[in-house]
Amino acid sequence: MIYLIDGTMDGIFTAVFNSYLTKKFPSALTDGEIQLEIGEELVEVTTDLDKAQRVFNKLYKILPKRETDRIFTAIKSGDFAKFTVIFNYIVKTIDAGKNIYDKLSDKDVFNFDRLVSRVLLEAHRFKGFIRFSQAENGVYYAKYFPDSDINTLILPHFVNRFKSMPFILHDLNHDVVSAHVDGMTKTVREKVIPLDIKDDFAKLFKTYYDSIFIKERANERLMNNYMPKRYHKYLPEKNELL
Amino acid sequence: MISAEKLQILSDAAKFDVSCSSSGSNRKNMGGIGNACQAGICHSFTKDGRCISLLKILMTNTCIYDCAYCINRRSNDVPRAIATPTEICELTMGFYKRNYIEGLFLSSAVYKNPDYTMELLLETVLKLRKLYGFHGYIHLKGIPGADSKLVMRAGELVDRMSFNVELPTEQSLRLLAPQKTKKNIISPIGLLRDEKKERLSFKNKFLPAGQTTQLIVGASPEKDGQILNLTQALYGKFGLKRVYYSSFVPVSNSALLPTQPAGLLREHRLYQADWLIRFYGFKVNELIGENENLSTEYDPKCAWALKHPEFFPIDINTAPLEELIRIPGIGVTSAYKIISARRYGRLSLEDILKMKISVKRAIHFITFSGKFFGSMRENTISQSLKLNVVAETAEQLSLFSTPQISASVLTGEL
Repeated sequence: MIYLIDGTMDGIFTAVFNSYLTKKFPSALTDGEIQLEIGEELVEVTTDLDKAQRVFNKLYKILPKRETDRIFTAIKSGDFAKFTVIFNYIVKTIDAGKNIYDKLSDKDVFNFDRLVSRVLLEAHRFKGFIRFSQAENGVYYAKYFPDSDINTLILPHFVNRFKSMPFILHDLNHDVVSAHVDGMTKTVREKVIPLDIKDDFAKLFKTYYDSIFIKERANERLMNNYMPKRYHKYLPEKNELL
Repeated sequence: MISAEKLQILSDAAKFDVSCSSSGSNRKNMGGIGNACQAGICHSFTKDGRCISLLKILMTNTCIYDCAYCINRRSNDVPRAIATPTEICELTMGFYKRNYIEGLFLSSAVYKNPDYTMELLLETVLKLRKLYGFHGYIHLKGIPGADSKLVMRAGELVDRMSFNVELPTEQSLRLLAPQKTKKNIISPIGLLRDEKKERLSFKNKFLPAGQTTQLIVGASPEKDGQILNLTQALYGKFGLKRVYYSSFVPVSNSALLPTQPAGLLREHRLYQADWLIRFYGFKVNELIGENENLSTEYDPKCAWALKHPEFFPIDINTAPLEELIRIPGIGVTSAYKIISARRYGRLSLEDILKMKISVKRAIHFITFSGKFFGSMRENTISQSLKLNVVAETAEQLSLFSTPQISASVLTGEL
């Protein structure tokens, strides 16, 4: 049996509630993008906020806030298996009746831990790989294409760092735009046409990037391990500049 | 704005400075631009796999000294340039606001005299902090022989300072860098250490990210044992945060220097041993004798384990942390995972594998509640501990070999 949910956290919580109610547990959860095996049954779960709230309250009793936060971090992942992984972790936790976040020898706990770590790793990496260009009106604009929906995770870092500097973070993969102007921060989720801004500092940085390289120690594989190729597209130092 | 040509000369001249770490400081944004991140952030990676965290640049590469191992030595025929403090400040701010960098690593060749150079550096960081309102990370290289008042003033403004030890012994220093003296290098390190200690309780932290140093390996005849003893003293006595090793690359045909590069493997082994000293509770004399070199075949922890069969096997379910981390192939992260997971019940080999902890090497040194799955044959064990790469590329353990092993030691987040 596979649960079809709406892809939200409340959808997962409702699925958990229904499972305990019917005493039937799905082999997987999906928000639509899945190929069913022959004979596999698809059950649609209608999100119910009351049911969701009851499951969340239960978790809130068992887990410290740090752990419930981790569940909301996990759902930002770009991994299509995330709904199943989160569902199984919640069920394991409720069955255990206590916080088992570090019982890594359990495969459900391990998978959940890895899911969260990957989101956090990507967020950490983009604190470094975000590249702003200065537009003519003085606003700094950055577009990027992350696997996970991390715009709101990395936003506070840039707000703290740049305080008085107006800037825009544009996630092209999940269509999220966050703007920080005059000390106010706002995030919208909609498709916005990305900007192309020419910035002379980009050329200067490319000069720097090329001259700091020690060619006697060339090791591009190592470079790509730390800075995967899929991230190169929006890095000025990895592209030909006009 | 600084010209591309000048930037090229001054950053090319700085590229052999190893440190690019931006961690260890939590400087706050006090209304201007920038803050420091405790964990450090890498902003890019160059084609040699090293990270770009800081804008690494020299004030000038015009030098009055003639150190044999250095590309900027007076007698070397290379293009020279000098930047103004304003140029450096504007470049730093421009890069920082675009999130290219985490901060500035400013160094310099010795221009006119040490005091004059140090004044230029001080003027630059002062401007950056006070005029440009920059609160990001600054790592400043100290100029040996500069007046201690200048050095102390700089310490109040920057996150980290480093005086390079350059070579492991005084004799080598005298031979290869005759204008530098051990006293000129070591005494400011001591002064900065004392000042930092005194101001620990102050609101404005003095050198919040501490001090580091760098030394060149393979330009002079010292053995690894000697180098690591020096390292241990620098960590212990002088409280340094990091010692960086730079494997020697021939940059001149001076008769005083070897013609061959020291190779990345030696550098890699030194970093491994360095890690064992800092995070794994090893003492240098456990790892290596004063006049020995580290094994090229085995990493230092494996080499130690092979020499100490009496210490093993260690039981995964009962051993304390400090014993777990002595097992070849088990690092600090894995050890913590084991300790957490075993609170829920006894761990079996399958459990460890499920946690994605590699036991390829560890298997011969551990038991699971008494059960042993490894081999008792010495030959099998030592084979499985060897670095495979060495055998395959045995003839060219030079600069271009062993791409996998230069590893994370070169990155700035650590």
